[in-house]
Amino acid sequence: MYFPYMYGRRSELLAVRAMLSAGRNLEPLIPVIEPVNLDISDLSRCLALCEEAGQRIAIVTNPNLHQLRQTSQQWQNGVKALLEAYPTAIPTLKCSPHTTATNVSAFFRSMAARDVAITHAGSALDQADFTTMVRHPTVRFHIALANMVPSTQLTAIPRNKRVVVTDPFSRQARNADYDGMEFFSDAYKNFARANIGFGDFMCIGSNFQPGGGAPAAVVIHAVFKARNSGDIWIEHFLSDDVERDQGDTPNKFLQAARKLVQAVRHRPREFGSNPALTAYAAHVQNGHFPQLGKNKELQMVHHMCLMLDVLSGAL
Amino acid sequence: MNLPALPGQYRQLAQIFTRSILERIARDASADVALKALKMSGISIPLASKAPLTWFDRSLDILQAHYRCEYVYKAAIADRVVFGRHSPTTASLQVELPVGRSIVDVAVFNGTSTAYEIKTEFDSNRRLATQTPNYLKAFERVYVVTHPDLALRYLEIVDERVGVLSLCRRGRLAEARKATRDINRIDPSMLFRMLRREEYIHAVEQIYGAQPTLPNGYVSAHFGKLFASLSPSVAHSLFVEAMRRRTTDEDTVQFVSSLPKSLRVLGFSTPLSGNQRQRLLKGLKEKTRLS
Repeated sequence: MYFPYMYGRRSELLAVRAMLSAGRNLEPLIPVIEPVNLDISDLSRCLALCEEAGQRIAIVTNPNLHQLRQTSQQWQNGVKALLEAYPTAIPTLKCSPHTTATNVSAFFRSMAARDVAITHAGSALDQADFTTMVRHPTVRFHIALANMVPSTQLTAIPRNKRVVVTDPFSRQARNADYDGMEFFSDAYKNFARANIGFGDFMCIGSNFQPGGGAPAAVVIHAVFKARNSGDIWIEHFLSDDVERDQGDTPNKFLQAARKLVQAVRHRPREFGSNPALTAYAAHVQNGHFPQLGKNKELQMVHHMCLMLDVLSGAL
Repeated sequence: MNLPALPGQYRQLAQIFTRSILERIARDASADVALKALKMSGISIPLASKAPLTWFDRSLDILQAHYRCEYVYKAAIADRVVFGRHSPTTASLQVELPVGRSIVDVAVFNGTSTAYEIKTEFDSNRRLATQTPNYLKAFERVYVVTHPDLALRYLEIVDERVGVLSLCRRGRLAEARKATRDINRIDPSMLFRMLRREEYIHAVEQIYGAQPTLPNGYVSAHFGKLFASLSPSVAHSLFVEAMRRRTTDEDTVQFVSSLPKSLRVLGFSTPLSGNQRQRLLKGLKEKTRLS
């Protein structure tokens, strides 16, 4: 199973929604959303559509990033109502160093009648409390964020519930610094030996950063399956203009998209085919810039489609 | 006896002249946040029975006398040039405007364009060599504005086409060298990149008439080519007209004119909705709860 981890911003939720009509078996897909925004209207719409489609989606109920750094009762009440309305959503507790045994008990109590998940982000619980948590019967998935979880805790998680999320995306300070291609992951080939699923932060990266202004360069990050090894690599398609005073964003987007479309045309068995790649080809054909949020969304849709395709053997 | 404040205290005082503070006042309709920052500086300003309007001006006077940071220069340009020599109904002011690969501190557009690059006594002249060539391609007049003690030095080191102004004690701008006006050095392509999409479409269509509807990915290339073919003089006129329109609308003029003179430059550079502007003005007129 594949667990893409994201932060619940509009483009990410739109990517999840786009997957509902991506023409794939979505059984192995469980997006994990750790919200960062106070406004839950996008989340609400996404959950409603996932519910209609029977799509499982994990929602972190105790996020602590960006606008949700401070606990907001209004947000908590809103999300509680959404989770009650949409039973396919999986309430998820983020277990970080600040999480106490009382927090964990309260979470289990409040979600007594349904399957839940735990995101492991470096728990400071003592061994007994940790063991109680990982053995709790209603926990359907234990989603461990690699590098944040001690190996003793990782091994204590039952294999049939353990998901390991890694962050192979090598984030650069500036878009202009992305270059060529690099190895991304081979987790899809071997995760099943030890875990029930694997995940990654796609092209977002685990280090959450709020969006910025107009970029000096536009880049499209697209994963592909290397023909010789079967490993997943990521290729960075960069606009020709990479300075702020050169060209404009629509043109920079088209420069990058043309390179992607050409690569896909030459190496279809590496990139596969999916609605995101079709959309990029249409934008290039029509000289259309769909805005940067849509560019992000399409990259994530391609990422999820490719991961599902390699899991199913379609690619 | 009042002891002179330390530089760190003046730096703290200067914090009240930031966009984030202005945005908070506009959000809360209260100047509490500015008063907190002011009190943190430890600099004594009589606050009793006075609305924030007055203590912002007083704070700027203190900075002007003891700590001439960049904001002091910007406020002086707004006050002396836009509200003094010209009028906000005809002259537009832009702050931190990207020009090529540089960002000019203040630009004023009335019948022509003038760039003001501020070099305080705390700044180095390191970037001037790369900044001025860009400014000379985009503005009819370019000035370095500096401390009186540094004016001679800048007269020696900057391009001789660049004028030098010094900020005197009472906020007057003294001209140590006049800027050379030369429209022929203007690069239309450089101006094009400073314009917003609706601005360059309007400009080009004034000269070439209505253009075909294009996919949004091709618009910039199409209009950029046409704009680049204009003479420097025509391109500059269109550019100045577009830039003037940015802040000479009735609402903006009324808003910046209602601000204390110490906050006008911040008013020009902080994007606020009509409601936020009203709340800001209300917050500046009412005594704060902390006072």
